[in-house]
Amino acid sequence: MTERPASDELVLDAAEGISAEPITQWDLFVTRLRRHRLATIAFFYMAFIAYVALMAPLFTCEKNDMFCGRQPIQMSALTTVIMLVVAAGTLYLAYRSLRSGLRGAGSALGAVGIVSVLFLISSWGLLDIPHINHYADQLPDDSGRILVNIAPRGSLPLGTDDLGRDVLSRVIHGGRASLAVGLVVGSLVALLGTVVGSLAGYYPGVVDQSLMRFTDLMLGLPLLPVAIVVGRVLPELRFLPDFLKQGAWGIAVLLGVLVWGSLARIVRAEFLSLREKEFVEAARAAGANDRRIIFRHILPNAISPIIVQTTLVVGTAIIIEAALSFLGFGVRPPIPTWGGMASSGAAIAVRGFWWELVFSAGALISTVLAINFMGDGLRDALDPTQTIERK
Amino acid sequence: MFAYIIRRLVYGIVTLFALSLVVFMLIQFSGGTPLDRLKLNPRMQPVIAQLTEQWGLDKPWYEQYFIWLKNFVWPIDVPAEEGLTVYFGKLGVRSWVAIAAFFAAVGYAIATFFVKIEANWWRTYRAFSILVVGVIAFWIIKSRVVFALNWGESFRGDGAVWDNIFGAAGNTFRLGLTALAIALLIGIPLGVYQAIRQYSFFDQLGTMVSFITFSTPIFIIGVMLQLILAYQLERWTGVKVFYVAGMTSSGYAELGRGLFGLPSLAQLGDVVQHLTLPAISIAAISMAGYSRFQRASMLEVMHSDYLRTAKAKGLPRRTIIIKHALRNAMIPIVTLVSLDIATMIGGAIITESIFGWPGVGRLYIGAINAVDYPTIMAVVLAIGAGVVVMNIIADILYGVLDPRVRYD
Repeated sequence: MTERPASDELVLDAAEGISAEPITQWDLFVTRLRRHRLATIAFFYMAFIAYVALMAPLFTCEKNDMFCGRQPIQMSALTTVIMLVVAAGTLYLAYRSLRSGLRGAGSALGAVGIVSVLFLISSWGLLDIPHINHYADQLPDDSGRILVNIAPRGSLPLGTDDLGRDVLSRVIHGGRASLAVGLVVGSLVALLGTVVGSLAGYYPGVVDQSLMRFTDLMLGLPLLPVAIVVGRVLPELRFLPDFLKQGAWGIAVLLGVLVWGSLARIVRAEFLSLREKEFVEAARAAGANDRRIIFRHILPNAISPIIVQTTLVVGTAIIIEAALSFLGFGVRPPIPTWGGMASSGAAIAVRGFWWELVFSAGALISTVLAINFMGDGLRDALDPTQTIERK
Repeated sequence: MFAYIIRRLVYGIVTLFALSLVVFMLIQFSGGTPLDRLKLNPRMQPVIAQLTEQWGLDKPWYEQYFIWLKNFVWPIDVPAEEGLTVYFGKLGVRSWVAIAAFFAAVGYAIATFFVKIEANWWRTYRAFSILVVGVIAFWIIKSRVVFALNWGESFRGDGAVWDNIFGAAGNTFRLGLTALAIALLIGIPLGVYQAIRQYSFFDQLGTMVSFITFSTPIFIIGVMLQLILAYQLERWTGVKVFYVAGMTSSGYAELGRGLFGLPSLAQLGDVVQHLTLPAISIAAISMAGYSRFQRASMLEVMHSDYLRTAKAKGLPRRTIIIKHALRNAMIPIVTLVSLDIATMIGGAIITESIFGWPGVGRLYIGAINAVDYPTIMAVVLAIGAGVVVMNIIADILYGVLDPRVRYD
């Protein structure tokens, strides 16, 4: 692949008068990101997955036998309003970014914004868990028999499982758990890791020492065994509010609290090197206080490793959540998760009913893959010093 | 460097303390007790009362924790004639000194939270405490003070926790070491070859495959291997090539004995048939990681100046790659592998429960389901200790292999 560096392209465009706007760092970033085709595809794929999971009540039904719409869909009014607003916004922004080819900074920001909003809302929908129990209902045919282990066919695109539940609905709803984990772990890790890392990196001495010892302690915990213990006792812990006990929320918070250590180390290293730079010295000479230096001068320069590392951690966390659910210590059945479906699907796949396993595993792998591609693309795009030697 | 290792060990011990406390509290606050299933039977009432008394379940949780902790790590003197047979009671002066030294070391670690490292008295204290710890360690070894390591009785009625874990650890190591060997022997050459033939079709394919493998959860790999390589292969060929569960077949002992008490060929074959699939499922993800990492580090070295010098000198390509590039490109991967061993133990929990492998992971899952907290605590701490030790080994190896690394 012999291609001109991304900056050349923009400079040429500007020189030819195609783009009258000045080239910003953000434009360079977007161009570089767009160059990474897989990452671009991954972005859209994640948006799609998030959209489908968010809109799950629209695509599937409160009761399975109304897949064909014999009963009205029941949603809380607030959910409906938010969904409609987000759907309209998504369509508009998707239209804009398609037209401008993701060139303008605004639409790229919009695309990222959409994904985060979708993450937020789709996981927020999980709070409704007591109401969404349709996946426990079975699918009777015209003569009233339960359709158990039906292979994929026209009316049931992904077949039914061993209890006669529609696999498509469950795959769609299962995405909500993974996305909730992605959202919560992503924000918790970004928050905790950045706060701890920047404090430790900016204030040497006691603060640095105590925070980093604590980080070492967290990194020294064996992740999976601890997660299994907590996942096992989570529904029974007395002091937890109800919404943390069931569903993916508790698991998500747990994983977020466990895995921020690596990011804190990276942020600290960034701060240590940036703290000594001339521009920080200049800012200090100009009379800026610590808060201003941290937020206005150092943090923006350390943002790329934060984003990249958070993306990678989110991928890992989704895998761990699935593994917990697979082992039976994560989200409990009948709430569908991809890991739990892989577990029950594996049990019936031995008898030749492969679809539940294959489709849930496929959804899981493709989502994690998309997140990892996004991380890859972001790393290439955000780090101009790391030249992509693809010659 | 010695000071560095000691310090890391002390931090490790503090980590394990915190770990044990957190896990213990979690189990205690969850409300489940190991006797729950006995309660279903009304005639079990006296048994429950007796076991509650015997296991101290009626005491407050902190008291239970201290009893557990005392049994777990209490140092005791062992007379020479008793060998390593461990018994309770009778704490000699030396044990008390050992305990005091231990707490001095912990105090040292805690003090680092609050002290500026540069202070002069601090250096003195550091040197002194390291000296003390060294002397104490020597004394302990000399005087045969051993830690009681009484990990308690399993609440499931299957004997001492130590024996269970010791037995299971051997099985886990058999699985884990095989997986590590597979991952290293395939992953590293793959990465090197990809780096040499950068951007060839094979390189692109390898990158893609390892990216996908890296994003695949271990349980999906395990289940797919079972379905395809065990069930379907048997269905198509009519021959049982791989087994899906267990370590050996039930008729293992009748397969004959080899020379010198070694397993016979038939027995070895049986072991391989059982071992292959779980080992591959653990190895696959590590293998993908190694090959990606090896490729990156090899590429970095290949673009370095001294390699250009080697080329300019007219050295043969083989010499350049193997002697100049590979030796330096292997350094980072040593660290990665040491850290990865701990992850592999974690992966083994999932694999063992899929393949019915009687290792530590399956023991752990069983213990969790039965709220058997002596076993849970012991496994968590054993794995935690493994992580700590492997981290230290990784650091030491890094320094040994790369003289530019300095410890502080």
